[in-house]
Amino acid sequence: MTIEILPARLANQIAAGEVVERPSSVVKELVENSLDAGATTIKIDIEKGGAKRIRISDNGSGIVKDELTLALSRHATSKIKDLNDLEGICSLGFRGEALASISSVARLTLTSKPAEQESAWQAIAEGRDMAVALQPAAHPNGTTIDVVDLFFNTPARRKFLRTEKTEFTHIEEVIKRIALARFDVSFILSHNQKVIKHFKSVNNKSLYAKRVAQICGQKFIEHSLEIDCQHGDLQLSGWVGLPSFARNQNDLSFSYVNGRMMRDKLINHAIRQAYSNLLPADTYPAFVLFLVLDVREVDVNVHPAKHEVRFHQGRYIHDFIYSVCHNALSENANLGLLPELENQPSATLPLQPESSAVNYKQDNQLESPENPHQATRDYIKPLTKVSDVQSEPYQGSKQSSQNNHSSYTHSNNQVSRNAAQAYQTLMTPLSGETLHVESAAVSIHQADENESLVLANVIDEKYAVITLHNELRLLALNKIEQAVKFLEVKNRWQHNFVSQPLLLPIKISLTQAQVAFVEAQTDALKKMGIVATVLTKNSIQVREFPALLRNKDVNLSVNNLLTLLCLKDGQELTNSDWQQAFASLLSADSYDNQQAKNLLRLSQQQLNSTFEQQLRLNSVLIDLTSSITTLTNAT
Amino acid sequence: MVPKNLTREKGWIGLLLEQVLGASAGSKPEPDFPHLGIELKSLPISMQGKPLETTFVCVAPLTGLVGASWKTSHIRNKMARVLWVPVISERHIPIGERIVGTPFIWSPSPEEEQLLALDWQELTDMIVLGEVENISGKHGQVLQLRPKAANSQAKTQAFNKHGQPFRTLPRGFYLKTSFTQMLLRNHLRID
Repeated sequence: MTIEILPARLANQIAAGEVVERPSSVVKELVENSLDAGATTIKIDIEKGGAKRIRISDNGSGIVKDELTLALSRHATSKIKDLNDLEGICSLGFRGEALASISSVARLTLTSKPAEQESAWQAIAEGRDMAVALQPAAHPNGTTIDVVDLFFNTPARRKFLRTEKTEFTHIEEVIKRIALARFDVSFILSHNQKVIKHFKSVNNKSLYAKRVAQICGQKFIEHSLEIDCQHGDLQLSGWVGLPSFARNQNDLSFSYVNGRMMRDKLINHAIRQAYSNLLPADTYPAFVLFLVLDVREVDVNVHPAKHEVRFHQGRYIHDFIYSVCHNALSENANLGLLPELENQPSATLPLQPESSAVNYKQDNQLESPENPHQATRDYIKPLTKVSDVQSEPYQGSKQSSQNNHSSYTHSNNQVSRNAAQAYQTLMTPLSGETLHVESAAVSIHQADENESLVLANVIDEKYAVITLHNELRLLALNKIEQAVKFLEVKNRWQHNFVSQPLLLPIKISLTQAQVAFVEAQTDALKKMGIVATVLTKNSIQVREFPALLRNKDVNLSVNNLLTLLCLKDGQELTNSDWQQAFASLLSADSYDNQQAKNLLRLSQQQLNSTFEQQLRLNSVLIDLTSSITTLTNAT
Repeated sequence: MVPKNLTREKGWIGLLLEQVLGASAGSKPEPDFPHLGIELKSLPISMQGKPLETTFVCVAPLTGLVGASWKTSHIRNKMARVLWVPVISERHIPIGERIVGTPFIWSPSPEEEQLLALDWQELTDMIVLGEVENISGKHGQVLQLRPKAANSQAKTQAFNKHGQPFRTLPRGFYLKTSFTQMLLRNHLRID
């Protein structure tokens, strides 16, 4: 099997599979083309249910001779030019497929004469590659497309065709639907040379009802309510049948979005809901409704036959249609009989586009910034301020409350700027838990001779063997960490430390002296973030504990702290004493190689100039003399 | 009377707390402490501080949602300011011996509100468009819509996917446990 590009005709035939289902789909595509060309009169001639011939003549703008060839090729259109156009489609078609698809499954002749061109030209696409042949022709201003022998080359499709009559009924249905959407255009539909339908163009609003009656029956007009409601950029107009005119089939459900006929679930849902209990369960409402909205608010590029659309603000549109129809129906009917409707706030249109509501669609901010129609989008204005932290909203919440907290006051009111800062530190792990992410770039390498400091190993999880300027030394890691933490604590001392309430208060047994100390120093402890109350002579209850000590055991920490502080019995405790004690609580008691490495790197940054001094202070020279002697003696 | 178990009286602990703290609103559509604008929510948790179940917030309206928006929604009103009372409620602990943890006052941060609002939008859109029967616990990041009824006979009115009225189980909005757990973690020290 080799991979090859499909011949043009085959590619078009595949595309035709979706678009050209039966003769009526051809009629729909071609009539829509005529409407897009601005025609005011469209003649549709059908022979043998469309299987033999479908000929559409219009008085639209026509196609100039040079573009006839292109008009028959796939993906060629005059209706859109770029992606921007695709987002706001004003024409009925846009895919640039209809003519190419149809001409791949039928003998198609395109004859056209723009008003400014002297004579008409005719184009026919033939053969495997669908080469286009041009020849002069006679034709008034406008375009005629003659489709003969539909599906002549696709017998499989031809088998699906029903009887002449059935196929023509489908065509008639299409023409009716289109004629309902365009009162200003005349449609003449004939079958086997006999005029079947003639809808004259009406330009007077009062006559619209007449055409609706012509299409949907006089009875419908008599049993329906005319509505017309404008709300912002939305407009809904048309006729809704009275509940008494309920249908057993949904054969009188005509909805249009910007002039395009629809079979859209959302629209039908809203309308059906408006009837609520007024209709028996298995019946269908009759309606002819036209929804007009900003073309940018709706995506028609959903379905090849464009029966379905997507609204950018689905629920808003739904509620609008529901409200308008429901109001019309309930004003008319005796609403009092419907108790369950009374509590619905539908007396007036309750739809107020909301300024600063939440983000209706997540990707909304992609399109809103440069959007000229922003006014209509207030309803879905995203909370832009926070959208960039969306990816990690959990952790981010606290940090950004620091930035926003002036505008945002209703939560944790005690979260002051300092507290938020402290919280940030809380969220940054204490010791080297995450620091090793960047540790590749450290200056402390295990075997780099140029370094003044080399970490050899960690012993007993507490001590590190280091070489400092080629001296072998044993370093107390805990001490060096305390020095770092002391500096941190000291720098932050003037602010209170953030405390966290414990899920359950903890009772701690202590000596009498310690309890007395806690009682006397309640305020100082509170400043550190420890909230404790004395329970008995021998016990206290801890309710809150510093956030910085989140990873430490409360009982142990309190005991350690009190042991440290009560040593200074009788003496006045200085700030420095408190800070030292706190720093010691913050420090770890055991280190592995990686943690030790991170600690050293962190210390170097934090302690700066005093780093080396601290290293020397907290380490001893390893005297290897006796070891060397032993070795020498052994040899 | 302390009940033996809570299978028949699910909200008993919550009601007890409301009684003790003097909350007045009951299940009325206003906060439990109307003058303070505070809603009381008990939060059953395990010994390890993990929420044991999703938290009921309020009944979800299935009709009358025309023009509904998050800003004016009942649920937003309910969640504006909540006093969370964690209660260690593991099944094997007799009701009378369950321990009340440290309560805390909470209001949604902008990010939390955003999460709630997005879920609310999605769920409300589905309700309005007649998809209520298709909503399962999988919808929503932090908020769930689930049946909330005394039994399967209690039905309320809603609209089906064709827009026709039909009767279905009443629904309620529930907070997922991951969300309440995050609240606990952010506000309390849990060992």
